[in-house]
Amino acid sequence: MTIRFTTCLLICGLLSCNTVRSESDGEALFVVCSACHTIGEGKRVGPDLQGISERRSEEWIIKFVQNSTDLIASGDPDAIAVFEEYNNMPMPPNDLSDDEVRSLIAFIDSHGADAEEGEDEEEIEEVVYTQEQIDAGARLFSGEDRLEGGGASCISCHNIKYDAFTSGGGLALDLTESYSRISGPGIAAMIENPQYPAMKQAYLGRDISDDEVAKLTAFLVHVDTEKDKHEGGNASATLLTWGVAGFITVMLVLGIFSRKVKAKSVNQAIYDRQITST
Amino acid sequence: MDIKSQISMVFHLDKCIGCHTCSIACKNIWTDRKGAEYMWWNNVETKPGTGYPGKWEDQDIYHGGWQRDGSSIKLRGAGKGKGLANIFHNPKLPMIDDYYEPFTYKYLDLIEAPESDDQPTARPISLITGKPMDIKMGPNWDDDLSGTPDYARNDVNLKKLSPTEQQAMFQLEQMAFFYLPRICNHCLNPACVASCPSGAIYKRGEDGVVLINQDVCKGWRMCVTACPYKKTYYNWHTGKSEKCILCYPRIESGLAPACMHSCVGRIRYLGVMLYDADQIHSAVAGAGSDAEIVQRQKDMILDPFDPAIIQAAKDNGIADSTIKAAQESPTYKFVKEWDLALPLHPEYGTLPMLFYVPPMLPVMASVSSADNSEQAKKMDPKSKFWDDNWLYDTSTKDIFGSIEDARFPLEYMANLFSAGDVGIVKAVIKKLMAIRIYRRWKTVGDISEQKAMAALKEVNFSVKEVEESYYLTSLAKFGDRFVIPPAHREQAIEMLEFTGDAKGSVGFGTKRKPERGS
Repeated sequence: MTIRFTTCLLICGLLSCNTVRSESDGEALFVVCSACHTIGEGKRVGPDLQGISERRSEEWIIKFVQNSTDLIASGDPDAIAVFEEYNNMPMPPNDLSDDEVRSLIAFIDSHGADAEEGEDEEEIEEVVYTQEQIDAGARLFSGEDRLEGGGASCISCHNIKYDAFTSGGGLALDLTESYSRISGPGIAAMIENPQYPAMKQAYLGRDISDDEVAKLTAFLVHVDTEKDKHEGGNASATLLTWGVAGFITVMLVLGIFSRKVKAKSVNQAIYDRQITST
Repeated sequence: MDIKSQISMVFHLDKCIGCHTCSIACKNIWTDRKGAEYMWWNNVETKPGTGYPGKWEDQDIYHGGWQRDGSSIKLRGAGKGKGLANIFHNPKLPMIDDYYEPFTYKYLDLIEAPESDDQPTARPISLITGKPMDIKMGPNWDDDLSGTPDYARNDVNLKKLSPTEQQAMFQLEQMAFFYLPRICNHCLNPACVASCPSGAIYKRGEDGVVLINQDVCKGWRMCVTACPYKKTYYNWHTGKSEKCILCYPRIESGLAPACMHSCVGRIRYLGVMLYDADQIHSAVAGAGSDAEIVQRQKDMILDPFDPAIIQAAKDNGIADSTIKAAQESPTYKFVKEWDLALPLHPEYGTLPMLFYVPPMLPVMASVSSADNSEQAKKMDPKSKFWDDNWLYDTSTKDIFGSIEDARFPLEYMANLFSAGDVGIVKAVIKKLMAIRIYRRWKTVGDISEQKAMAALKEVNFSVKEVEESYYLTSLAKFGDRFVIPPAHREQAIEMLEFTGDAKGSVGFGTKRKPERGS
C-alpha cells in the first residue's frame, strides 16, 4: 500500500515537473530550429511554424522532427509534400526525446500568440553586400584567410562553381546554388548554427563569428547570382578527362616503343611444355 | 706505344671435369646475398648447350658486344644514342627466366610436419618472391645433357653447321660434349664500360680488372645488355649491377682468385701480359673479318723479354716486379709463345683476356659400328653385361688423320674460338695432338720416335717447347699456374696523398660501405 502510494506521488511529481519545464525548455531548444524556421515571420529555409499544431498532429510532428527522412521514406504524403515544396532539402535529424519535441510545440504555440502583435515590423529586407565583403568571403571560403575559430575552410568539404577556385571537396553539398535554395538569411543561419551532423561536429567549439558569417553569406549569394558567368570550380571533372586522355597517350607511346622489347624467356617453350601444375 | 699490364687467364678445357667447384667457391664468397642468388659470376656450361643465361651467344636476341661500323666500331644494343632512347625500358635485357628463378626448400617442414600417412616433403620456395614455386630451370640445368633437343640442339654455335654435321655431333649415344667454364673476361675493349651511362664501370689501370663502382652505379642495366658474355648481373635488391671482380682483394694479397684456387682439374692459369693499349681500337675496327681479330689481338700482346718493350713499360710506370711477372706468366706462354689458347667468341669485338685451350678429346676419336659379340662372351653373363655394338675408336693410321673426319666438327669449335675460321682452331688442335703423340712415345712407347718427331716438325714445335707445355699442362705447381705480381698499393696511395702525412695508414677510396643486401 505504502509503495503504491509513493509511486503514485512520484509519477505525479514527475509529470507536474515536466509540464512546468516544457515551455522554457522549448524556447532554448528553438534556437536550433530558428536557423531555418520562423514563427509568424514567413518562410525561410523551411516553412513558417506558426499554428503548426493546428495543421499537423502531435504524433506526426514528433516523428518528422526526430527524423524527417525516415518519415519521407515511409511514404507519408504530408511529409513528401513539404520535402518537395522546399527544394527537396531534407530537414536534418534531431536527437530529441518525444517530450522535448512536445515542449517545442508548446513554445511555438505560446510564442505564436505573443508574436501576433508586432508581426509585420520585422520584414525581411534585401541586404546589399559590398564587393569587399564578397572578396573577403571568397578568401574565407577557399581557406586563403583562416577562420577565426580555427574551423576547417568551406572548400575542404564543399565544391562551388567559381572561376577563381579549383574544385572543392566532394564530401558535402555543392554550394553554387545555395542562395536559390535557402535564401540569404537561410545561408547565414546555416553557417552560424550548422544543423547537418557532420558540419555540426566539425565546427563544435570552433564557432564562426558573425562577421565571417556575413562575409561568407555575401560570397555565396554573389556566386549564385553570377553563376552563369563562371565555368570553373569543376576541375575534378576536367582533371579526370585530362588524366584519362594523358594515360591513353602515354600507354600508346610506350606501346610503340616497347614493340621491340624481348617479352618472353628464350626457354618459354620448354617451360610451357614441361610445367603442368598451376 | 702505350704499354699497359693486364691480368689474363687461360682455361685448359681438356682438363675440365665439370665439377662446378669453381662456381661454388665463387658463390660462397661473393654472391650468396639477397638479390644476388641468381648470379653466377663463375659458371660452367655443357657444350653443345644453350648455356646460362639461355642462348647468351645469340646476339640477335640480346644485342650484346661491338659491331664494326665503317672504319670505327659501335655497340650493338647500347651506347650514347641507343642508350638514351632506351634508357627507361632497355628492350633486350635477359629476364629472370632466361637465367633461372633462384630457389631453396622449406626444409623445416620435414621436421615440423604433423604425423600423418604421407611422407613430409620440402617444397621449393622462390628466393625472390618467398612463395612456393615450380622449379623451371637452374644455372646448370642442361649439365651433361648433350644432344637433347631442348638444349644441345639449340646451341647458337650450331646455326652455321649443316644438318649432317649437326647429326654427326650427336652420334655416340648423344654423348659428345665438353665443359666451358666462364667468368668475366676482363676484356681490353669492354662493352660494359662503354655502355654505362653513369660512368660507374671502369678498367683498373694497374691490372685491367673491370669493376663496377657500387657508389656510382644507378642500375640502368645498359651493361647487362652490352656485355655479349652476359657477365654483368643486376641485383634486384640493391638496385645496382654487379660482376666478377676477379677476387681483386685476393689478388692484391698475392692469392689466386677463389675459382682458380679451388679448381679440382687445375685447368686455370693466371698471369700478367703486357699489351699496347694504342692498338685497342684498330684491332677491332681495322680487322677485315671477324676471324682476323684473333690475330690482331695476339699482335697487341707484347714480348716481355724485348729490351725496347721493357724500357717502354718502365717509362709508362709499370713496376719491375710486374714486368718480371709478365716474363714468367703462364698465360703468355699459352697464348703467345705456343699459340695454344684462343679467346672465346672474338667476333664480339671486346678483346677478351680469358683464353681457352680448346678441348681435343672429342675431336680425336671416331665412332664406327663393330661386332662386339666376341668380347661379350668373355664376360661373366650374370654379373656383367655388354651389348654395345659400336667402337669408340681413338686409334689413328695417319698422324693427324682423325682431325679431318672428327666426330666433333671443327666448324663448331671454330664458331666458339675463332669466329668461324677453321684453320685457326685446326692449327691449335694439331699442336695439342703433337704434344700427345710426343708424350705417348716417351711414356708408352708404342709410337716410334721418328713418328713423334715428325709430328712435332709438322707443327713447328721444338722439343723444349713441348716439354715445357707438357709440364705446364700436367705437372705445374701452384706457383707455376698463378704468377701474381705484387699489387704495389703504395703507388696507388701516393697518387692520392703524400704518404708522409699519413704515415702508417693504409688504403684509400670510399670509407662508406656500399649499400648491399642484409
